Amino acid sequence: MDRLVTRILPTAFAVGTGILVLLGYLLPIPLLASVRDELVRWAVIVAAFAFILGFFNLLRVHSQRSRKPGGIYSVVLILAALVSLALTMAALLIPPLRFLGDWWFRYVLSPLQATVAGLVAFVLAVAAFRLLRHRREAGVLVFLGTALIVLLGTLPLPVPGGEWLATLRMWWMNVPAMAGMRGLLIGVGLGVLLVGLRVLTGTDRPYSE
Amino acid sequence: MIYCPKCGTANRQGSKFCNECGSPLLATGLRCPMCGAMNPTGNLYCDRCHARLIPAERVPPEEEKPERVSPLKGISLPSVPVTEGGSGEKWLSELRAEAEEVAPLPEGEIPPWLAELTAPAGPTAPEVSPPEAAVPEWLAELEAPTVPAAPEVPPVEAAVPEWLAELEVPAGPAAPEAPPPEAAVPEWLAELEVPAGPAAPEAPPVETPVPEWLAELEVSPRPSPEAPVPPLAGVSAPPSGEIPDWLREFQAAPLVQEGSSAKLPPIALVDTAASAPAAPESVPPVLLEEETPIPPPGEIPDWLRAAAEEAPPELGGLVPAEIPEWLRALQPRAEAAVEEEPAETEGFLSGLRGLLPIGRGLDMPATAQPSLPRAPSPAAVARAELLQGLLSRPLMTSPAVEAREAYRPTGWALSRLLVGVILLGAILLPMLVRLSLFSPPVVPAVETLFAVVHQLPSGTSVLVAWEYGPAEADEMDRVAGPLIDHLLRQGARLVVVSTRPEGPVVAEALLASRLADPSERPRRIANLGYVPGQAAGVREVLGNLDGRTEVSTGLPAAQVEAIAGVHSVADVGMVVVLAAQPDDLRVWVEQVSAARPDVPIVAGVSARVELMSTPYLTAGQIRGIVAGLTGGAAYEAKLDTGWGREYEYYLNSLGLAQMAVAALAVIGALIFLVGGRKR
Repeated sequence: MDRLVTRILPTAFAVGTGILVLLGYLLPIPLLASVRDELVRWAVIVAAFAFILGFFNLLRVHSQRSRKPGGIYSVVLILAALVSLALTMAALLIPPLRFLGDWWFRYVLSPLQATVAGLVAFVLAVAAFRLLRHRREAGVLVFLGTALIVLLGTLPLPVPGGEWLATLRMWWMNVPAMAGMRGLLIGVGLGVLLVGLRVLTGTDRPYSE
Repeated sequence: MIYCPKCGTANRQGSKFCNECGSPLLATGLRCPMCGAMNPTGNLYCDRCHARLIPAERVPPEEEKPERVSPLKGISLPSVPVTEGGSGEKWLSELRAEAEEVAPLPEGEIPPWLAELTAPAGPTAPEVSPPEAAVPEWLAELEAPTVPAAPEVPPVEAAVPEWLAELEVPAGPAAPEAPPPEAAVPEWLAELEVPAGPAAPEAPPVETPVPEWLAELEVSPRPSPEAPVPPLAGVSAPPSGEIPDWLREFQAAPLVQEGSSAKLPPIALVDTAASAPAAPESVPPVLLEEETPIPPPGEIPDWLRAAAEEAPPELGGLVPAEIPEWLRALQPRAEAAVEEEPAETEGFLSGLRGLLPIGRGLDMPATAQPSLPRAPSPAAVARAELLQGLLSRPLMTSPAVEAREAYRPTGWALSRLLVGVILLGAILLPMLVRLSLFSPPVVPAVETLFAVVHQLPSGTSVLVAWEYGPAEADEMDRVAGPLIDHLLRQGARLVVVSTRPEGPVVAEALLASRLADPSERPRRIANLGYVPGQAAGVREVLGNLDGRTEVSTGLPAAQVEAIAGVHSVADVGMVVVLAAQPDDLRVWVEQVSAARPDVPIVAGVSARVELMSTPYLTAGQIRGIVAGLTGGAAYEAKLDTGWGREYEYYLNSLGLAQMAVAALAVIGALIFLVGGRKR
């Protein structure tokens, strides 16, 4: 009974649903198309519910961490999450209180996220400075040269040779980088196709034990 | 020789059928249940595989086997072969065979078998054999009863069992002058008659001329196989009313031994009655010779009275209710006393017993021996103290770790400080001092995008996928701003959706700043909010645009003028994807291209998504693209308003910061190339 609930039924439901959606795309049958659209609509609802579950799971995990050393950060996170939830709910349910949600987003959330994102530039700059400290291989030198070309070629440098750098950057982006990126995209496409087939055949069961 | 199991006839070895009765003989062999090999009769184990051939019987040990005792002379054993199974059949057959060979002795002569019986029993039963003669007196007197024998008169075979008739024959010649009709019952016999137990005290032998047990003997004309037999003293008695099997064999077999002259009083069977008076004793009736009339019920026969008168007061040491050793030896062992071994319960050996006996002690539950806690040894205490001491010590670091920690405060922190100062200077310098180091660039993809947007008819519905949040808003707002401005100037109606929860809020902030007349908002912009589900959400919203709710007004999308007539992606004139992450751009391009390949797609992406979007651009899936702050500045410059102070500041800050990072990379490379590699 336990195996039926945890493995067989989820697998059968996932395979059946995937086949129905796939047939809805492949066959021009109105009934299959309507079934496909309905199943996609269900997936959206399930995803929204999973988002809510993720929020409560975040609270649970950090409530456990809050009792350990350094748990003050978890306490701050829990408080911030609850305040954000309360203000957002108030802004959606009570129109006069909408300004509270906008204020919180514009003057708290946006600067904080921008600050964290700005730290990435600082870390990348430090990494560029120390790039050859540990490694002196050919690949590292190629990486360093590419970074310099892209950084300087992006800008319309008001110096002699600026246009040459821009042209070099454009060639670099359109030929070597394009080749690498196409290879990555083809690999991603094949991977998505393979994962879809494995899920449809029940080989991969990420939804069950 | 092979004896027929049916008639007992001896047949030659190897015979398959009995020469006498034709029954099949079992001497053909036994087939092994394990290997199938044929084995000669008598084998207990297979010659080939040593498997047990006769599984169910338990062979009693030698000390338990009944001792072979010479049969009682004159006792006629059943002539009909024993057909029922049982271990007692063989010894009965042998007993019968030997008894048949014994000829009746002349009258008054002590048979040799009696001498054999009495002689070896000396040490074990001294009270049985009288000291003065080989034959005890009681037995000698019993052998000379007064009942006259009448050989010429055939016995009443219907009433007298054969074996009892044989017992009576030897006493024939001496019987006629002996029996006084009114002989008194001897004391020993009276003791036998008087019940010894408390269960029958109401049957006094004095008041009744004939005891009950004797009356029953006389009344019953023929012994019944089911008649109860008093248990023998010293032997485990069967339940009341039951006859042991060994005695039942005697009774069941018809006795046809005509002409037998042996005649003995049934003392061997009757004298045990006193030991168990509670049970209704019933023994085969003792019938006399034919000329002696059968006494009516309740009357003592003459021969018995005569024996009682002449019987000595003492029986030479024979104690009533006690069975002599020689008679006890005749009794076979009870089958029920044999303890059965456990039988196999499964497999092809199911039902067989004694195959794999359980070892003694294996079937006994293991019991833990309680033990008192012992004091730890000094060595254990020393080890525990050492461990406790190690655990209580502060953590020690290796010299390498200490050296690394010592290096970090100087080199590592200094390098980080240097990088931070340079970056801050590059960012703050354009803010403090107006610089014009960089002019708006010319980007071909931006030129294409501008042309596509510029060709849009007024009032065209444009689906805008707002896929960035506050973390990317500083860059993406400079990318999306010029594009949104151009769309609004072209009179397009914007339908905004996002697969990121914070996307609609970020979009609302930018749209509010770009729309010159807020009153036009309901006619120009419809923010449909967040769509969960990633690719599934995109697929769902592409086919159901007007089934959602507008975020800013809270009204159903179908009631918002900006989305009037737009039900699905097929009703829009363009799709604009504003993506800060590579996967967001990929999902939208894939879903829109699958749903409506004819709908043009343009994109405004961050600088790090530019490389990934280039393949879509070159493949024609994306008509035009604006990437990063540089692309936004280029698009801003294409508009009628030209690029303003804002883009000048951002572009100069970005240019200075990128140049600073490039310089730091070169300086760092030179430093570590000259200074050597650190490990």
